[in-house]
This record gives sequence, structure tokens and C-alpha cells, in this order.
Amino acid sequence: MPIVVTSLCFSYQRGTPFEKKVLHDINLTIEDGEFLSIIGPTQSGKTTLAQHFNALHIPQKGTVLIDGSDPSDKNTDITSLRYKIGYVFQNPDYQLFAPTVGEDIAFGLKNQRLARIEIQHRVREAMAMVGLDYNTFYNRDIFALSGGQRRRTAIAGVLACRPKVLVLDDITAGLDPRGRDEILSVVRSLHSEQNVTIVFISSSMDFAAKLSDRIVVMVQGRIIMDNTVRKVLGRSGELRSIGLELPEATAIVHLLRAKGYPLPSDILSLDEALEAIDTALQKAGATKLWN
Amino acid sequence: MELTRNITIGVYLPGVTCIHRLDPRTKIIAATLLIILLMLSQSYEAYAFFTLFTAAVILLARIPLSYALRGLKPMLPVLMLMWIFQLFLFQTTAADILFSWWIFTARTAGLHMGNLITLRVILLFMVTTTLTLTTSTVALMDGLNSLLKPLRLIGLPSHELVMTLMIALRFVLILAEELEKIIKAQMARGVAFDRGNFIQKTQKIFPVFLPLLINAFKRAEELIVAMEARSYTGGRGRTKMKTLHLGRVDLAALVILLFFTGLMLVVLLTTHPVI
Repeated sequence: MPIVVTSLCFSYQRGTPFEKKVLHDINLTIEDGEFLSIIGPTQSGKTTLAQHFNALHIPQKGTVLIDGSDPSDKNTDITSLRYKIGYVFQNPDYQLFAPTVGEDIAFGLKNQRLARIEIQHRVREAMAMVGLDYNTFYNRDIFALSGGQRRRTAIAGVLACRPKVLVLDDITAGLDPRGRDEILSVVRSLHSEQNVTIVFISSSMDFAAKLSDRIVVMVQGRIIMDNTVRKVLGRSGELRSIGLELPEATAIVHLLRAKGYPLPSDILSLDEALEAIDTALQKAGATKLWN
Repeated sequence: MELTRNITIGVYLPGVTCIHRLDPRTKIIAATLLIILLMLSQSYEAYAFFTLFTAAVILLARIPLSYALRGLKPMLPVLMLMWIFQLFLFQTTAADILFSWWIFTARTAGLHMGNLITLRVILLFMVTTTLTLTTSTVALMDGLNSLLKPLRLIGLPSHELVMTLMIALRFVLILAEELEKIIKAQMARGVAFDRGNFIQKTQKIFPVFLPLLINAFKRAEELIVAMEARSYTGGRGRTKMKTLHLGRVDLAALVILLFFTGLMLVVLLTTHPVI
């Protein structure tokens, strides 16, 4: 299910005095089984771009090919295309409407007119994937859920459709650290166990660096970097100048590098940072700091 | 998928033209007077004259005509329906039959009535849209407040009324934006809004309407907290940072308006009503 974007442009409020160009000549290919992060400050066009991936926006200029089919083509069955590309919105409140968790998760499946038993089975499966206990939560009132549970319900509602590609639009926003970690571990296992292609949209480099293989950095509607995580993090100066926070470990190492310590620039995790600092110290003849 | 593109009501288009600089009170009075004149108009000549004046104001305010007309787009089906109803259902003693088909009979009087009412709604929309496009919500509120103040003597809570009105106006766009997000979230789960029979289509309203309603209540609650956090207690004893004052532009505008009203009255009295 590759998604190929070629010279895509998009403006909001086209033809009005408020017209605002939000995407400029975007070229991007998302391969099967990838974990891709799209990072950028607010208003950089991340969401607009991602909404082209499942035809919520139809290209104004340029093309988007979703598994070879073109949503601008009148003959394309856009609805069945959307079943294959799941999209989880930033705010679960835009999605949840049914009285209970179970019914809301089943909504997408009912739209597909699946058999009752199949629906039941898939709801159970989706709830297990996001870590919501079936017996406890199936009949739970939507309003009796915590923020993290609401978000998990929203994700389960999308997962139940068994998408091949999952677009996650800033799903960590507004969650406490624990809720965030829970969600991220769900995402990680989806990618590694179910082999779902993940498009992870965030304004924070931290989670993207921990999870993804490849990072796309967007600024003002343009892609300015598209590379592996290490290569992107190596360009820390540029990242900081556009207002993106580096992951903590990377930031520390870069501070040390600025003071003249010979450390590598592409540090991702705290463990790697410790190791690199240790090696550098040993080379300089100092005793080992950590064992 | 973009809903806000066709919404012009409640939108303010910042500018520096003389229309923008007018005191909000002048603009509200002008709009009210124009609407009254519009309601009195019964002849095509009067409508033509009125359209010219409105167009001149829109041009003067530098509102792109295509944008001003865009707001009519979502109203088109309603306007068409109205025209058709008038055409076939207008009761008259005149036997002047245009054509008849099955049980429907179209009369000339009905045709004129349809034209008249459709034109009236379009012009009414243009006048109010011009007012909101050239006046910021705050200015509009100050203006209305100041104009309605005398009514407080008869016990009308003018400030509260205006505040409610302005919040409603503001929420038009906010709710439209929210509606768009909700529709997208449900489309992503495979709702095809344009498919199915009437009952199936009606059922599709729920997954959109319910979150919208819930979110509207949430927003309203947040707004209440935000207002109370800033010690909002209503209109009593409230002072303003910017006080309104009428300038020379306003005087000129009022003179022009009176002149137009005079001319309009002459047109109204000298032309024959269409029916």
C-alpha cells in the first residue's frame, strides 16, 4: 500500500481574500511497513498533507496515488480506499459519538456492513490491541472515560477496520506522561507485530526519534528534511532554528560538542549518550564513569 | 472538504477603506434603514436602484464581489425552492396564465412575486454581509450596545442581549470548523454521506450531530469559565477602553444615506408595483 505524493500544492479558502497557501510542491513516498514521522512546528501543513493520504483532501494541484489509485479520478471508490488508510484525529471528541465504547468501535465496521459475528470479533481484537479490557470497557459510557482511555477508544475504532496504513495526528497532545507512554507502546506494537505502516505526526522530535525509521521535517508547507532519524538529528542547528526541540539525550550531547568534546552528532537515546561520553573519556585517559 | 470556504456571515474582512472606518453605529443604522427600504420596494426599478447602491458600497469597501456572492452559494437550493413555490402557489384573481402542467399552474403574478422575493432575500443577505464583513465583532457589539441603551429604561437587558448575539455570531465559524473536523473523522471511518436512501442518509446525521452538540456545550462551558475568571458580571458598571465617536466620515455617510433614502422614496412612489 505505498502512498506516492508528487508536486502537491494546496491552499485553504481558495478563491477568497483569506486564501492561504499551506502546501508547496510536496514530493513524498511512503513505503510499505515504514514507520514515518512528519515533524514540524504548528501551522507547517502536516495535518493538511496527511489528510491527503486518505482522500479527506483531494489534491488541488499535483497528484497523490494511494496504492496506485488516484482520488481525483471520479471512478475511484474513495470510501473503500479510506478503510485501508486509518486516520486518528488529534482530538478524540471529534470522533466518539456512540453511547458506549463497544458501539463506537463498531461504527466503522457497521459502515462496511460486516456480519454481526465478524464485528464482535474485530471489536474484541481492536480493544485487546489498545489494551482496553473487553469485559470492563465494552459497555462503559463514553463520558466515563479518562483522556487516555478516550484516545485509546478512538484508536481502536480506527484499528477495528484493519487498516494497512495508520495515520496518527498528534495523538500524544494533552495526555499525561503515563497515558502517552501507553499509547506509544500500542503504536510500537502495531508496527512491529501487525506490520502496519505508521505515519506519525507530531510537533515533538522526542517520540518521533524513539519510534520511527524515517523523519520528514516540514516548515511553512515545505519539506526541508527527509531522511533517517540519525541523519535528521545530526542537523541539530537547523532543527533548533525552526523551533523544534531536540530529544533530551541529543540535546545534551550537542551542548557538549559545542564545548569541544569529541562526540558523535547522531545520538538518539540516553544509553547511547552515556556510552559515547564514556568512550570519549577513556580515549582522553580518564577513568570509566559508569559500569 | 472545506466548509468554511462558503461562509461569509460573521466573518470580518479587515481593511482600511472609508466604509471600514465608519462608526459602527452609522453602519448599523444604515443597514437597518436599507433593510426597511428593501421591504418597501415593490417594483423592479426600485430593486435595480437599490442593487446599484449596494454594489457601490461593496465596491467602496473593497470587498471582492466574488467573495461577497460566495456566501449565497449554500443558500441557492433554498432560493430556488422559494422561487418555484411562489411561481406555482401564489394565489391571485388575475387569470393571466403563463403555462400549466399537471395540477400546477404558473401565473405571471406568481413569476413576478417569485422574482421579487428571491431578489429581496439576496439583497438582504448582501446588506447584512457587507455590515459584518466591514465591522469587527467588538465594534459591532459596541455599536449595538450604544444604540440599544435607551431601551434599558423599559427594562430590556441590552448589554446581555448584545453579548448573546455576538457570541452566537462568533460561534457560526467556530462550529463550522468543528463540523468539518467531525465530518472528516467519520468519513475516515467509512461514512459515505452521499450514499444510501433517505432513511440511511438521515441516520448518518447522528455521528456528526452528536459530537457537534457535545463539543458546543463543552465550548460554552469553557467560555463561561473564561468570562467569570475575568470577573464578568454583565453590563452594569462596565467601562470601555475605546469610546465611540462620530466623525466627519459618519456625517458624510449619513447625508449620502438620507439623500439615497429620498431618491428611493421617489422611485417607490413613481414606479408601479409589479403586482
